[in-house]
Amino acid sequence: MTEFLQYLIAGITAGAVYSLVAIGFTLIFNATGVINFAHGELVVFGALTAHTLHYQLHLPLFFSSILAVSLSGLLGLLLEKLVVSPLKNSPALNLIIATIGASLFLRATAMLIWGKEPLPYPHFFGEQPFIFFGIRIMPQTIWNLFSAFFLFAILAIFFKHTLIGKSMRATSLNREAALLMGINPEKTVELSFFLSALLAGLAGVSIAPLAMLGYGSGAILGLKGFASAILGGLENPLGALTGGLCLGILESLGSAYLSSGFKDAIALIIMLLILFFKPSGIFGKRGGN
Amino acid sequence: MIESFLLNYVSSYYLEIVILMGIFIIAAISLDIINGYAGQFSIGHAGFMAVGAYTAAFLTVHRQVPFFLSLLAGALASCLAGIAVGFPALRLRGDYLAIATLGFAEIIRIFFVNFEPTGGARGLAGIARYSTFDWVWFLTVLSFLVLYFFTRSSFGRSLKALREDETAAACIGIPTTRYKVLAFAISSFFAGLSGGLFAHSLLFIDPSSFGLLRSIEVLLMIVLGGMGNLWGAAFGGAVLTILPETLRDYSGIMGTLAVVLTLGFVLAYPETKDRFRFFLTSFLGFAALFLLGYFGRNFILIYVSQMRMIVYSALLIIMMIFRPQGLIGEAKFRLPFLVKKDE
Repeated sequence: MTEFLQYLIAGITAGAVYSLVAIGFTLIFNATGVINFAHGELVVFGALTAHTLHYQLHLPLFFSSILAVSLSGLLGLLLEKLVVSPLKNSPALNLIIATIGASLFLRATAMLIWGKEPLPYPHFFGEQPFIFFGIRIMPQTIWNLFSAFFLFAILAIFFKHTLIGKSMRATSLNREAALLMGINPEKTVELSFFLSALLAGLAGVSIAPLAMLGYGSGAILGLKGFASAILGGLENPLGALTGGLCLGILESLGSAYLSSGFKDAIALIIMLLILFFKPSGIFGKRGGN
Repeated sequence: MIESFLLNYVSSYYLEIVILMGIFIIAAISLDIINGYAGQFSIGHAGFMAVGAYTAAFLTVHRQVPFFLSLLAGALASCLAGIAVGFPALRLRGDYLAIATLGFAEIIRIFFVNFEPTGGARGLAGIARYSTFDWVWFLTVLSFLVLYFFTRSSFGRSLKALREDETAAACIGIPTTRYKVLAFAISSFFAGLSGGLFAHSLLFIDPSSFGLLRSIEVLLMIVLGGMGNLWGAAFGGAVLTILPETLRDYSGIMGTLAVVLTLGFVLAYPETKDRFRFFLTSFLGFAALFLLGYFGRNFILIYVSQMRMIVYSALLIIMMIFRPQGLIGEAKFRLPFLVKKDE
């Protein structure tokens, strides 16, 4: 039983990470209707920048984290300016190809800057685990879970009850109509990329202590984050939260009791099943068709 | 046969490049059927190549099956995989389909990492070199002709109609789902063929040869040449096989840059009235190239080997922003002696 609970906790730990990544996907999807293939790389950039700021420039943990998150936000803005904005009138397919290019570009740049080895980052609240009934829980897990819940709440309120959030949803649904209603679609898209990159950076610095991130971790993180988002329904932040947790738990239990070699495949298989049979996700309304 | 004749004139290194070129041309034109003609967006081509490569190599190494039959088996296995994925996946919209194919290719890779009969993560070694120049280019030309006639048949035209407007295509009686799955099947068949040839030319394969980067490489080939045009895809396949090889030494790098610059100027100023600006910018461009060549020698030699990914990804973005139709575009190239004039 203890063993099972420990696997469960491991799954929740990973799940909180996926939720954090997934929430960023949700944000961009809600505002622009596109999937940002470079999101995973933004997460990695946040983590690696934080590493450099903390270990090379010797900034205190708090400031290096805040600074890394802000820099990721700026990187997201840059991405929007250089890649997404010039393509705003092109077919969606071209935009997808361009964001795939951007993700590869970021990955290669990360390799040139930080090398091929994964880099560490300290735990926010020390590495002394809490022990409940023989189950070990790291404080970082609790922090990640807490930030995932917190961000979900913020985003839910943001999209439902604020003017900017509503205008983002409007832009995604119909750009021209939003323009006629006095919404500036370009500003809205810019803002959504900035916010989602901020979330990516936050995810990066929160994940880095638990799983050392290297230049190539972005692809699989991005895929699993997307899998979580799709599991819950792409336009719904609640979906991102629960989807991430479900995915993490399923993956952890699957690799413990079925086959550890196929750990990464489990998330992908779940993603394909959801895409094939219920593309609108568990909580979603809009379909993938 | 032709290979031994050619070896009198060129070194085996160049011959290998030409062989790889043929293999990647097959991969590129087969992806073009899905992405260019049918307008579906697949970025999992390496997955199909992996199925073909592993099936064919396993059969020749461990079961002593003749080369041609193994190739065929690999292509058929890949075709089956294509149908298995195609049926559920093709109901999906563009970006969802992209992710689904990406995920599928990744699952295939993870499967081969864990599949011991083909060596698992250590890879499959001891493959005989069956992919000679004759075999590869015979099959390249054959694949090109088959796909060429496919795309010009009523089936090919239906695919194009489907790409332009799926609803309208369905309204004039095109069975959209069946045609999309058929396109997927044909495409993955040839992807498997190219994978089988690839395995018997490299003589060693491991799961990492068929990762995301390989899929994107093939995607870049058709983006570079122009989607929806087999000539463009073949051109892209040829260029992207040669390009990394020319970037290996210094004179090659400089020569490549000069060619790229010239092409860039011609493409940027197609009108004759821009002649003055054309000469001015090309003069500045070549002056910059000269200075770079004079002072940047060491820098370039150190970094160029790591630059491949950066160049590829930058190319993807630049093509999408400035020339989304590809270098060649959907131009009307014909094989004049085989096909009568366009309707």
